[in-house]
Amino acid sequence: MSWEVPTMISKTPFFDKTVARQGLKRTFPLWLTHAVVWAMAMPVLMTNIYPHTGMLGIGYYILMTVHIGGPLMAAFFSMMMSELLCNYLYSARSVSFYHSLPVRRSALFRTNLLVGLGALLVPAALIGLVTWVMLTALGARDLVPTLLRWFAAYAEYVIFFTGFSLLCAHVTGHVGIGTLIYAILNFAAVALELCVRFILSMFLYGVRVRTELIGVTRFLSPLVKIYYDHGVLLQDGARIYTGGSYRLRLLAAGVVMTLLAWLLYRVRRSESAGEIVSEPALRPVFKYCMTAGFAFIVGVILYFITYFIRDEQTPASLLWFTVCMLAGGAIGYFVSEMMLRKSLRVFKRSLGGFAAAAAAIVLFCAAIGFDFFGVERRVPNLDDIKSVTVELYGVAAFDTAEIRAGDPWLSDVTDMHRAIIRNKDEDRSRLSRTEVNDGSQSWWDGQTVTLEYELTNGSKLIRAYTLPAWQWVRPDEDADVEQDVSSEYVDTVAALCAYPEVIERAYPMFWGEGQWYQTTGEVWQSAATGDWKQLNEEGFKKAAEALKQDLLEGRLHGWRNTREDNGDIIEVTLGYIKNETGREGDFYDVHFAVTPEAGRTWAVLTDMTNYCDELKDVDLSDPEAFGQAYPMLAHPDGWTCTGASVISWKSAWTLSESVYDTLTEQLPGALAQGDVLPWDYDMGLSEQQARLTLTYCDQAAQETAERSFMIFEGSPLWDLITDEENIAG
Amino acid sequence: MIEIQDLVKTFDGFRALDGLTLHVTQGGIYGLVGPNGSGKSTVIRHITGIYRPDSGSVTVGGQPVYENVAVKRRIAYISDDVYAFLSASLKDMKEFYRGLYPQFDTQRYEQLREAFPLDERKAIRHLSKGMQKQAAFWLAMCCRPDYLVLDEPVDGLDPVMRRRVWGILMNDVAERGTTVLVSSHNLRELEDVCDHVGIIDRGRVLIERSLSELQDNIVKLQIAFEGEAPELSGLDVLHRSAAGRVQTLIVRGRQAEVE
Repeated sequence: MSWEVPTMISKTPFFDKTVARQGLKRTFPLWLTHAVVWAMAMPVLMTNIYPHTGMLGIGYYILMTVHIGGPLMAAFFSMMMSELLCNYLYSARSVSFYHSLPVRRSALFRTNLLVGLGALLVPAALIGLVTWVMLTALGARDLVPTLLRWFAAYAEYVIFFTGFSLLCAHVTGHVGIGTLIYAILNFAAVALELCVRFILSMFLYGVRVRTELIGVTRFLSPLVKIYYDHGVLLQDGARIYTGGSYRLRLLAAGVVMTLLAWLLYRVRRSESAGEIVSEPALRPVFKYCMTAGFAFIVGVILYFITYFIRDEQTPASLLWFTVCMLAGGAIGYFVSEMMLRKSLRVFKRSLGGFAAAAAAIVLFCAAIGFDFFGVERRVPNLDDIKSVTVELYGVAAFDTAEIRAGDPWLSDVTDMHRAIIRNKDEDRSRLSRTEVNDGSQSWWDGQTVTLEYELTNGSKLIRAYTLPAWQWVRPDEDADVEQDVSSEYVDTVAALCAYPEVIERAYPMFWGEGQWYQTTGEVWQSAATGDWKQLNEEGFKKAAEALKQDLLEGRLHGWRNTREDNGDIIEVTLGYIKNETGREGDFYDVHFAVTPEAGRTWAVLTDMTNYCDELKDVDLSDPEAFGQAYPMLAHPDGWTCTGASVISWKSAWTLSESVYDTLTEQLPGALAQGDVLPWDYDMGLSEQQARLTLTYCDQAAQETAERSFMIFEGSPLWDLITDEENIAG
Repeated sequence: MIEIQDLVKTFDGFRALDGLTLHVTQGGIYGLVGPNGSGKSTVIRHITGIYRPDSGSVTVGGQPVYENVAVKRRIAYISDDVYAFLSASLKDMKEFYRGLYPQFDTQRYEQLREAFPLDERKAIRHLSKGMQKQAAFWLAMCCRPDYLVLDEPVDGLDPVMRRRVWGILMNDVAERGTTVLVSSHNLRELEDVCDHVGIIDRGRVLIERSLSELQDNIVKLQIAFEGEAPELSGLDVLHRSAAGRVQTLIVRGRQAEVE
């Protein structure tokens, strides 16, 4: 392929107005639809939402429209515009017409490119402007930065998908093929990774099909990466849309692909109209990509249907898998030959080419089946490990133990890993084997141990093994099953979970690592307390401290070794927000099944003074009932407010003393009007709702009482609790 | 002047033009004649800048054509298969051409209304084949081209319209000195119009002569032989084909001498 195109140098415009006008006219239904969709999603919807969300909320929704709608809109409409503007390349009549016109090809390309981009971005910019005008008229302020972020993100998506679709459109000379290539390539990396993982998991011990895609795959699949990895956050009081650096890379990739499309167009021959691949040098690429793609996808499906689905326990058959891959590859190869040659008679001429592809497929299968690269045998060296998490459900109070570089017991993990690999055949033979001894029945069952290494080079190594653990059932127990689970692996993991450092890493909130704020503590199925109740603030703190001590003393166990009978179990869930300065926090829940063996925790959870009063059903219009439920508000003189804290959507703070009296004065009226509601554990937190908790001290009885309320955005008290001047610290 | 030197063009290994050389004099009407598949349309697509030659040169007015906007503005092309934008009317195509061809003459467009009785608001795709050709002619003549390239131009036109079209075309040649290249597989049709003829076969121009010379110098014979056809030595046979016992020969030489 030569990029040199012999031409006569003549002064020609960069852009042709006549061709541009015609392009806009032809694509009018498309860009008009695009504009209408954005008009509905932006000014129309936002002006309806704004009265209910306020400033911070509207910023969130504006950026969420570009996060959720932007990539899809850009991917679809850019592709459609490119297809429509370039479809003259796919018919001999139309390409002859266009190329006979007094317009240079480069001017044609640039004109179509600018029409494609302009038809999408100019209306989007105007819609952004209209949104600003309408929301400002409703009282919104300082929306310009948010709207600029919205437009910049959308423009980056449009430029990327336009470049991508233009390149696909110019690779082919056949209508529809460009769209098909575009659709396939958007998800090719994902499909390939899933296929490869499935294949590896069949043949390599410990390799599993995970749902989480690796970074490279996500990077090559923009639609996947944007929705999985990016989002809208609150940072330093402003809404930001994450993923800015990735979008800049998309922008650069879009520019590069546009340039490649232009280069292809320069060398493109008019007579390639109707060909599947316009440039002859790219035809082998198309052919072998089809071969590989079909080998993987059709081959895996064929194997799954004919072999794998029959019996999961039967070991994988390398031979049959190779046959299926060859069959899939053959279909792909010969179909692509038929498409390129436009003939069904391709077998004789193409056998030689397929032989090379077949050899590559066989080599690939052999490399997997015989583990040429030592994937199965790989255990990282201690020096290469940054950390490893060991996961084994139900053995300890927590399921995942994090072991770090420098821990003396890190070698226990790698030794266990080597032992697992060494005992592969023996362990596999034990699984599901049943034995009968002395009238009791016992069998080997499978438990999954997962090892996730984070290495010093930044990569991850993940292995999951289904390992035998001995289970024993007493034949004369007719109600509950007593399970005594043991194996060398279970014992190793249980020992790891006993180290104080490991416990601390599992429950950093108990050690105050980072900024942790407690939210709600909920207790279920307790014989002592009845149905389920909520811990008050003091009770929450006591429960956390007790749990910490019981964990360190090994008095809290996993569900496998916890007996459930006669209600000797209290289940407790403590909620936390981890809130880094200036950013929105994340919710964390920790859950425990507590038995009397965990004496400290048991004592806290059976003490009724640690629970909130049930106030949700109090008739607030009845003065007597109100006075009984809220004496500190009805008769404030005898009470002193000692603390006020607020929990909102992913954020928590305490209020300064200066507002205690104001809150106490305003709450009765707000409750009466319904601007504020008594806190109910059925309520959830959202961006428009916050929980206010006030702690009072009865001056006479020297007793403390806690009351929680739901405050709604837009109410007078909302401004009071969110005003930065009223926030302590 | 249109000049092609040693033009070679290959499509997937098939040599469609095999070192073709052709000269069209300024202000002349050149007929390019040849059987189906001889390469006429391929030559025309090189002259109009659609195809890029594998080797050789194609110049119009002394300048290479390919990607040369200044030259292409002087060329109007009517394809054998007329193309128009989806749902575009004659009026729409007029505006399009007006934007691209600086010499587009709207007065001429109005003048030619009488010659071409078409509804200019109707989509061209909905017109019959003959009407589409008329529309193409109408627009091409209004571009006031210095070079007019026509591929099977009167195919689909009724006899009356054919006369009309040729009349308009020859008027332009006479008034403006437009250079015309017309391709057809029908020499008889071109006899009344062309002053020069080139006969093309298998990607090469076999003969290129003025029409009068050609008519004097080329004889077409159809002979039925009993039994096997003999070798015809002594005759300069340019082309020979057979249908059953009837042999068709194109022979160089005067008619009386050949017979």
